[in-house]
Amino acid sequence: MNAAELAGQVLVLLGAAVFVVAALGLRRFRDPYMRISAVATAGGLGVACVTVGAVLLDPSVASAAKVAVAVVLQLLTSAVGGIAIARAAVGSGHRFAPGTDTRALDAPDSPDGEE
Amino acid sequence: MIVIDIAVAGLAVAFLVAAWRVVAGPTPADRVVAADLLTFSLIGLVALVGTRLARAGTFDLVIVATLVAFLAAVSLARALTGGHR
Amino acid sequence: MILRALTLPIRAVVFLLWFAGQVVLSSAAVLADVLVSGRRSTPRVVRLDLADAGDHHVTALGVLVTLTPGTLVLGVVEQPGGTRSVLVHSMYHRDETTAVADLRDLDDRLVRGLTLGGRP
Repeated sequence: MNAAELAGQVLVLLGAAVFVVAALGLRRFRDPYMRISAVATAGGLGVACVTVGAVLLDPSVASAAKVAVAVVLQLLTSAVGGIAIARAAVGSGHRFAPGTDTRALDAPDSPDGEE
Repeated sequence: MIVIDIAVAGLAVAFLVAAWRVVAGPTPADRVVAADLLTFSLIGLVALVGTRLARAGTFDLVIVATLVAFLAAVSLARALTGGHR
Repeated sequence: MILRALTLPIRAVVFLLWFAGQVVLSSAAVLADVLVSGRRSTPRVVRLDLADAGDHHVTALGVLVTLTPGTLVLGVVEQPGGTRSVLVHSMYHRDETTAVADLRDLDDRLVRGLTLGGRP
């Protein structure tokens, strides 16, 4: 086994672990915002690890170029998608878990969390 | 490749938990974010299974799926607020 | 300015490595919570003032904050004076002060690492 293959195996397993942690977070966290945080992070990092790992297991220049594009896109889109969902959740009045300090949301210049 | 099989199992777990959360809710935002994880784990599965079967075009599919997942996330976020921005 | 341009690749790489390290560090808190009960977090919403930061700056910061385990951007608010702040949902900071300090540190490093001119 060469170094690329070993790195590929580690990354693939790491990516799968990130997904399992995200699934646990989705299962156990108490409010939508914590779940969005878990999924947006894991979506970006998990998919990045898995795809980079996959290409290292079967390397080629063409695949590597496509994976580079896919990873950058995935990191950006999962974060922006997560922000869009979080913002929509605030805007549609989803409640935070009891005990969440939301005073920053109630400041006079942010009319009911809109925008 | 046993490593890929293990990773596929991990992603399958994430996929199933996400599917359960889509059904269980309880709030619409929970369902939306679960659908997001559902598409992400599907993208990971495409990359892994494509590599396992040595299919050409696997990573083209990953790029397209990434963009579709983004459109889905944004549309579902829009749906949460009832179409308002 | 020329020096800033020449050092940009190095500064960018250093920043990205630092950010990768931060991701690993903060994932420890998430792991410690999720593997036990998922109920150990101390969630809060904090506001980070960004003065007159531009769209690219706010977007880059938002993406980085959201990719960091345990933090999530909830939105951007624009004050009447034209200044902007981001609202950040943080799960594992002890208190508001440390949360804002960490976010401010990320923002400072972002500006130092990825711009030609530094803070306008």
